[in-house]
Amino acid sequence: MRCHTFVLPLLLATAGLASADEVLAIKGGKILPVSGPVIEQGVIVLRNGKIEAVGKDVPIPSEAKVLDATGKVVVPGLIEVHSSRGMDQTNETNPIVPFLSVVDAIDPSQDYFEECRRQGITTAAIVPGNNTIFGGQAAIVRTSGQFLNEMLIKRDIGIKISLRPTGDRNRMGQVAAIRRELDAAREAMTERGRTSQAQPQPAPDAKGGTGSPEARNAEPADPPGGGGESAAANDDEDTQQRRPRPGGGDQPGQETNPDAALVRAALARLLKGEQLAFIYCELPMDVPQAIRLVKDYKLRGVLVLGPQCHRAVKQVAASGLPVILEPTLVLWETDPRSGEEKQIVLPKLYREAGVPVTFTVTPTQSAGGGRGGGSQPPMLGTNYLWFQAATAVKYGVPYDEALRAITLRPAEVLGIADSRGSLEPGKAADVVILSGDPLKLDTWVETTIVDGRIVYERANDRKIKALLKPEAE
Amino acid sequence: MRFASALVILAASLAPISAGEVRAYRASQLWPGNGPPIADAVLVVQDGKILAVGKASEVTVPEGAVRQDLGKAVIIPGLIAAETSLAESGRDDAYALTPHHRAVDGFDWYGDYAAALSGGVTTVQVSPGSRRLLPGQGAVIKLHGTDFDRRIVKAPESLRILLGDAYKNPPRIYEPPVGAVSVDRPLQPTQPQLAGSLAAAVAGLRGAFLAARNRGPQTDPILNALALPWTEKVRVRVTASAAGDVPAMLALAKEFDLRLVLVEPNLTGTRVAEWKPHVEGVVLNVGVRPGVISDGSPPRPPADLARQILSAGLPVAIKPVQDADLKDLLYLAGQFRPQLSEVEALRLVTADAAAVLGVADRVGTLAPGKDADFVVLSGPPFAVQTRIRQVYGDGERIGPEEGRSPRRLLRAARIHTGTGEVLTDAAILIDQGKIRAVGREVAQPPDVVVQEFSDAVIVPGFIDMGVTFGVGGSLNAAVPLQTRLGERLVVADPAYKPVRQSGITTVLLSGPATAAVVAYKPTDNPRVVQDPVALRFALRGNLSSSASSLRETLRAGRTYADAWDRYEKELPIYEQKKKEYDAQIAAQQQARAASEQQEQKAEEKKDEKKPEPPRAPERPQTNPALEPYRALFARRIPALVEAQREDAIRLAVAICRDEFDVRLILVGAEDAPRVVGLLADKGVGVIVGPQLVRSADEGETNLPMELALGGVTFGFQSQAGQGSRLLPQAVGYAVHRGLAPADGLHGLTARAAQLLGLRQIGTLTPGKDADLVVLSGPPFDPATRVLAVMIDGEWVHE
Repeated sequence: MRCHTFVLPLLLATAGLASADEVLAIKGGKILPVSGPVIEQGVIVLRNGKIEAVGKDVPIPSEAKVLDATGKVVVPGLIEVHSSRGMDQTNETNPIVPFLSVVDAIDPSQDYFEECRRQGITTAAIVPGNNTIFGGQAAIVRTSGQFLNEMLIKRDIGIKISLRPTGDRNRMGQVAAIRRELDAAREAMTERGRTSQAQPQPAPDAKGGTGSPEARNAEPADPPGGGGESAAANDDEDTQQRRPRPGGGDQPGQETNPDAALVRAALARLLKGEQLAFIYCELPMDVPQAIRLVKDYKLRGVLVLGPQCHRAVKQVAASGLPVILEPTLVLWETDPRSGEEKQIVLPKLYREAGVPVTFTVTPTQSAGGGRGGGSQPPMLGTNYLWFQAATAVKYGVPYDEALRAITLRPAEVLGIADSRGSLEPGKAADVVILSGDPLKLDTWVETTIVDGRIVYERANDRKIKALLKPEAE
Repeated sequence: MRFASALVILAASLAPISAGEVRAYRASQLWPGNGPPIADAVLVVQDGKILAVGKASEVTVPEGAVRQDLGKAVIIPGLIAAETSLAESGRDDAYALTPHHRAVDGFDWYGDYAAALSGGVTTVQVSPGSRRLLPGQGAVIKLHGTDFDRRIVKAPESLRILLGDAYKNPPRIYEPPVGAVSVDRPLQPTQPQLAGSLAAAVAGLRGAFLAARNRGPQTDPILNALALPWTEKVRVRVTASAAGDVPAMLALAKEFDLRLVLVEPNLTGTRVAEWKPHVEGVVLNVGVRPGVISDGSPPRPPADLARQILSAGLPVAIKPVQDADLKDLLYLAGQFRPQLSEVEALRLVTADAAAVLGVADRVGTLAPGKDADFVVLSGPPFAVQTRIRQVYGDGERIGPEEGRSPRRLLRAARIHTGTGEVLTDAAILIDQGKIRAVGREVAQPPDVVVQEFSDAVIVPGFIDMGVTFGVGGSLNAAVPLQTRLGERLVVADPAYKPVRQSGITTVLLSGPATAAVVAYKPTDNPRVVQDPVALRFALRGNLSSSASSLRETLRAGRTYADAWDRYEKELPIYEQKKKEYDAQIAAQQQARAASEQQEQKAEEKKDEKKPEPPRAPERPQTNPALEPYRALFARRIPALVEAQREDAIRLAVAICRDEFDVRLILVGAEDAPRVVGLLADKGVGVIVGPQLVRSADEGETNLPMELALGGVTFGFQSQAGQGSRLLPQAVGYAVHRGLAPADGLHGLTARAAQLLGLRQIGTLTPGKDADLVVLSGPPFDPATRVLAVMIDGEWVHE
């Protein structure tokens, strides 16, 4: 209790003091660059937010502020490849909203980002949740910064497509809705390409069609989009009855839908390959659909796989698409007939099939409300990125591969491997100093550095101290 | 369900066929699906396709082909179900018109279709929703295979329209759908959608097709889907089960040049003969559910309707009432006889089904170039006893095997064979549920599944000579002798699993004395070893009265048995005599005919003596209540006599051994140690238990040990339900208190089988049932655990 009052201003001060053109050098630590071999007692120099040099006998510039990491371990900042936290709300209520961006929903003051820094996560991809059809634009952010523009690394990197049925749709309806939106967007793209060809060609008349008076009646009343229904309405004897509409409100091309143009524009970027498609598969039966969508629309797909999807591991491997696993990595399955219980270890299973994976974590309860206070301390387990990697190691995944799965691999999946994910000269100065081995239970994050600034120091972490303080008499 | 699980395991363990390999299957009959069967046929398969098919004498099998002779088996094509709701399990969208929905999108490629596959169904049509006017596009899909593109036989297969009464009154919908509500976007009341009546439905469909035909170049998924009948020649599948549906659809078909598949057509107001130009085929609902009993009017398959449509030259396919009935599709097709011939009935689920679905180029018949989907039956397709033996999809084995178990080779550190022999580092070869070989070196066929149990000990399966479970309740009331308990055993009694997990593979069950005893194996579907395996009597309470009643019972039994005995003894003698008599008569007649011309001489021999016809022995009346006594007095089965005290034991021996001379096994026999000599002399066995070691005033009596020392053969019983699982432990305690481990083990296995005269169980020797227990260490060591239990070559606990 004694030092408590002093720590708070100090914490704020450290965040403010570190400036971008400051030169930092970390010496004496064991460096795990991920992209290369381990450097014992190496030196790493950070200048202007970038890594200037990494090595054993790197000279330390005289102007550098030196951090002594003797006996400690230096790793690249961890990267969370898929997180739906840090926003005011995980999902949008409307199902088709590819034009929305998480950037507009990110709240830098949320506990989530503080927790990230405490865990050594320096970069996170914020992707909308799975309860929509097209969920909106994802963004990559730094986990430190007071304002959004400080945090943002890259916006509009991809769109979430969920194959889990939403609302009262069934799976057929979900897939049909996805396809019709993509078709409409593609149509609009080609349409724009040949603007000169404005006049649509009338379809060749089938034989016998004009015979009935209803038919003749209906023909001129056909709007291009939902013509079938209006014709049906003409034929309906009961004029009181409203015209039936087959597809519903998520139809594109409906003049009544002001969002349609936005939807098409957003999806056009997806179809042009400018953005990733984060495709969420809840069940194994969704995996072939996802792969087919990727193939049919030439998407840059990333599979976000639910735990049960391991049954489709062969198809996943054959597709060659990057894979993000949901937080549950070890599960028990009961054979429906024999009643036998079987342990399924996903990292091992995917590894045996030759599928490199990346991990995600379980949202803790504090994820939703940053200002609510009284947030619950996170429990040990699947809500830590390093724990996921350690689980993989426990079940036989090589150490290097597991470490890569929370650093370089997510950077590759997100397309930022040229600037993040490993300790190499020229990359962003996202560095974490650990008290010991990154995948060990008793290891603490000592210092987190984002873009050359120290954003977290355990010595100044009021919350950790409060947590570890001996019970007052 | 249990059955199916075995199949799946099996399918997984089958070795895949390498690419390019040619396989030739020879069978006594082959039904190609579209014509009469070919006798002594051969089917040649390569790379999942049929290479050749025909008479064995006419087809040349390529050099190097793997030949398989299926013997008396019959080959038919893989079966096709013409409509199922396997996609989305029939869940419907809220909207009535969703032609762009594709059933193939709702099909679970990773679903479990083992039941249908084991019923020979390899290809199915999957329908989009089932309660809306135009729910979407159907597809034809194979139920097997890992290459999903290849599994799609045809998609889209049809555009589905539902008339009948299924489409009527779909739910009202929010239009526009519920979203954020504001002043300029208020929540609207729900809207009705198509359609409430046939007129509205037909009008709506007409409008929809019109719009589709006149659609512009835009890609509107709904209009494009509605145009499929013209752009992709997709058929329109109409469920037309209400009066008026068929004429209405025929009119639409004429107007828009549609090709229809009618499902469950209602013939009111239409003539089948007029369908031809627009109807491609008909799907009939079988209407009956296999083995389901229901009140109300008896359901009958629409066989007469099928006949009528076939006569009009249209193909007919069938769909089961529920998807769960897919496994019985062949049986259901058989219900259409006699109106349809056997060939026609098979066509319902093969060639005609393929024609209706428009997939005849790939499946439905066994012809060169088609997919190698075929089913091997044990006999002709519609014979009563015919079973499906094997199912092949794209040339790969995907279905059940009659022999249930593959060949297995079990290796263990030690094997107690039950004959007194202990083999170290030995192996057991198991084939078709039987032990084929045991020893340090045994044959190892190439396809054998080898399982290593290092450090483990294999012993024969244990026998509990008295339990109370198996008929779903207690057996307190007397069970008449004519009741076959073996036929009353319940499936999956809760006691089976724990009991067999303890290593007990055979148990004896009977009602209270006097009763017949059944021996069975506690698998989920219990298998009877012998019924009856013994007769059970009791000597207890007032000995003089119970002894006299036992005598009475046995006497009545012996009278009956003797009568049959006599009859059976006399019968061959009589038959012999009768044969001789017939021969004599015949000879005489011949002689007489030969000598007819010399009549005068014959007259001289008039005193020729006529042979007397032998008298047939009187056949005793069969009395099922006494029938088991014949086996008892023929010494085929033993008498189990419950006797605890010394006087009762002596009485039992006197009555059963001395007076009636039947094989005797005492049950209980607490005082047996006092009469060991007598029991050993008379060759009387004992079933001890439930209490094996007793503390009496003067000390402790270890009953099995005393018996073993006295040279009396004994077995163990638990007289318990689930508690039977503790029997091996109880014997372990007796071993702890002095019984020799070998005697304990043999009492649980070989001796028990020997007492009962069961030759097929009790030891691990060639020819016996593969019932065995894998233990982690020496038997009866308290640290030893049961690792696995096998019954009839199948693991029942692992």
